[in-house]
Amino acid sequence: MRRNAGVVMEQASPRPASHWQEMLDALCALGGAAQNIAPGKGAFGRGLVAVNPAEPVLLRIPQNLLVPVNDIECTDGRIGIAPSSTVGESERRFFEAYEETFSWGAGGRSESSVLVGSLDRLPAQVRELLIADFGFGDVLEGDIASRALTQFLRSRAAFWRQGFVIAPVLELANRSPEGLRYERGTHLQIQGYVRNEILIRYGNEDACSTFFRFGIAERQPAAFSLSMNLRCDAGEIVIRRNFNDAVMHGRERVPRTHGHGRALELSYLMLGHGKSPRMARGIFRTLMGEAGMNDADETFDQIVRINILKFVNLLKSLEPYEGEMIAKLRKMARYQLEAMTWCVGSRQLSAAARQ
Amino acid sequence: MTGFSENASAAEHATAIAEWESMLDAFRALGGEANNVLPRHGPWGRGLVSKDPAKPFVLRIPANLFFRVHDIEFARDAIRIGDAARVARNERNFFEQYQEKYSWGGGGKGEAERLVSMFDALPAGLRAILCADFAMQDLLEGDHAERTQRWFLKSRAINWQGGRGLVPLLDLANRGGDGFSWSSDQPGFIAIEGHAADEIRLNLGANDSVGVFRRFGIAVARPHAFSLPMTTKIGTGELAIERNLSAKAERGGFDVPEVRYVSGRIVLSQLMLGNASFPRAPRGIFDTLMRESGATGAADSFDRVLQLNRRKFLDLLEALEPLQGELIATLRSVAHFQLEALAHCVGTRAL
Repeated sequence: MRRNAGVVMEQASPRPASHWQEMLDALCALGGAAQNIAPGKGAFGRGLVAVNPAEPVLLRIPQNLLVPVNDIECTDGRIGIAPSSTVGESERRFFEAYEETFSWGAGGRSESSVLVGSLDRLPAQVRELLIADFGFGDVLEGDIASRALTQFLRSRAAFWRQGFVIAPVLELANRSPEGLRYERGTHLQIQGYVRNEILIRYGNEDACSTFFRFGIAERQPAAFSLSMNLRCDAGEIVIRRNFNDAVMHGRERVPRTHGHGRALELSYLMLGHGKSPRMARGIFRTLMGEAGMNDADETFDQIVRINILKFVNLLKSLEPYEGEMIAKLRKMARYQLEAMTWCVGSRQLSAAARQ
Repeated sequence: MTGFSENASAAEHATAIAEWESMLDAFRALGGEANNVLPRHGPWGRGLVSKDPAKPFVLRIPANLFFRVHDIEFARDAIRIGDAARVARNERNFFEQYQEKYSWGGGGKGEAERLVSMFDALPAGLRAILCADFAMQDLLEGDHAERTQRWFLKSRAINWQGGRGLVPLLDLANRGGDGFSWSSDQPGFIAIEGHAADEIRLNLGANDSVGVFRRFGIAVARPHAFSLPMTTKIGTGELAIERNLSAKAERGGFDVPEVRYVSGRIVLSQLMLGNASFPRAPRGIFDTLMRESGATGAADSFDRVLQLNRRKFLDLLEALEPLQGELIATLRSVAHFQLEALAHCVGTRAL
C-alpha cells in the first residue's frame, strides 16, 4: 500500500497466468470467446495485448455478460451487480470475481481515485466553471468513492443498444482512434490484427469528452457542442452530448432530432471536423431545414460562439495556475477550440430518407 | 521623475512639483494649455493623473508642439530634433528638455529597453512564430538600440494632420479601453479634457487586442478583432488582406476596408472578423464588398480567413504553453482576448 495525496493506492496484486486462463474459460463457458489475448502493458499503460501479433485476436462478449452501467454498485469497496438487476446468477458471480481480480480491484479503483483526487485539488474557481459550463458535476461533487466508481465506469463503458454497459475483459483494452472497431450484433466483439497492444477505436469523441471520460488531453478531429438550451430567433434549440444517439442520413451519421417548427432537440451537434470541414454546418442546415426552422446559419454561429467563449473562458481561468491537471485542461481546451476551427463552408447532405 | 514615485520623500516631491510647474510654464509660453495634470505612477505604471480628481483636467497642445517622428533622431543616449527639421529653436529646445526630463530620459527609454530585452529572451521557435504569423519583426529583428528607439516612438506617437508625431504631455498618458479620445476642438490644437477619477488615459483607437499589444505592449480585451495579414483563395481568384486600420471607408455607419485590385487579385486594407457589439457586421461587410467586386465563394473565403486566424492564435498558445514569464503571460492574454473577439461573428447583415 502507498499513499498519494490522501488517496489510498493499492498495488495491483500479481495475477498468475492460470487465473487469467481460468477466467477466460469461465467467459467461454458463459458464451464468450477469446483468442490470442493476454493482459499486458502497452504505450497507454495496463491493457490487453496479443499473445502472438502474427495471428488475429478475437474477443467476443455475449449479451448475457454485458452489464448495464446503471446496474453496477459498489459495496465495501467491491464492485457488484445490484440485486434488482436481471443479470443471471452465474454471470453475476463471474462479473464480480472478474472485476475484483482483473479490473476494479486490480488497479482500476486506484486509477479512478487518483484522477478524481487530481480534479478535487483544482482551484475552486476552476472546479465551479467545470461544473457550470462543462457538466463535470458528477466527478467533482459528492462522495469521493462514488465519484471514483462513476469515473471508472464512464472510462470503460461501451455503448450497447440503448445504453452503456461494461463488457468484461473488453473493458481492459485501451482506446485509440486507430484501434479495432466494436462489432455489434447478437454480442459485442472485436477482432483483427494488432501490432502488440489491443486498442479499441473511439466512437464519436471530441477533446472535451475524451478528457471527461479518460482524464487525458488528446487531439480529436471533431468538436461537438457543449450541452445547451438556446433560445434564439429561430426558436428553442436543445443540444445534448449523446454522441451514440445517431441516425443515418444517406451515408452520413447525424444526430437524432426531436421536435419541429419552433423547437428542436439534437442528441449532439458537430461544430467542426478536421477531415470534413464542410460537414458541421451542412448537417445543421439540413436538420434545421427538415425541422422547418429558419435562420440555420445564424443559429449555428451563435452555438459556435457560445462554445468558443466557454473554452476561452476556461483558458483564462486556468491562467494563474500551474500543475499537471491544469496543463491537461489547458491542452484539452486548445484542442477543442482547434477542432472547432474546422468549419469552413457547408455541404449538402444527400437527400436519402433517414433511417 | 523619481519625485513623483510613491517612495519619494516630501522634499523630493516638492522639488518635482516645482520642476513640473516650470516645464508647464515653458509649455504654456509656446501656446499649450495644461490644467490639473501631473505625472504619477498609477496602476498601469508611469502615467498622467489629475492633480485634483474632483476637478476637470485640460490638455491642449498647439501644432507647433507636434513633433513629427521623421524629424526625431537619437544621438547616443539623447533624443532630439534633426538639424534638417523645420522646427523653431524654442520648440526644439523645449522638446529636448521635456523628453530628457519626463519622457525618453524620464523612464521611457528604460521601459522600451526592458520590453525589447524580454522579446530577445524568448526562445527562437516562438520568436519565429511572432515574426512569421504576427509581423512582430520590428520588436525582434535588428539592432537592440534601434528597436528600443523604434518601440518608444511607435508606442507614444499619434496620427494627426497626415503624419505621426510625439506630443508633449500626451505622450506620458497610458492607454486603456475606457481612455479619453483626443480631438481637435480648436483648429491647430490637439486636446483632451474631462474628469479622471484615477488615471488620465488615452483610448486605444481602432486597435484590436493584437494591435494594442503591437503598439503599446499591453494585453487588453477589445470588443472587435481584425484579421492578421494573409493571402487566401476566393472563388477562383486570390484575396489579400492587409492590416492597415487607417485605410478605410464608411458604409452604413460601419468602417469598411478599402478595396483595391492589384495584379488580378482583390486586396482589402483590413478585415474585421468579430465584433461583440455588432456580431453580424464582419461577415456582412465582407459579403457586401465581395459581391460588389464580383467575386464568388465569399462565404467559404470568410470562413477560411476566420479559421486561419483562430489557428494562428491557438498555435501561439501551444508554443507559449511550456514557457513562463511576464511577456509570456501577456502574450497568452492577448491570444485569449483575440480568440474571444473572433468568436463574435454571428450571421450576416446587409450594409
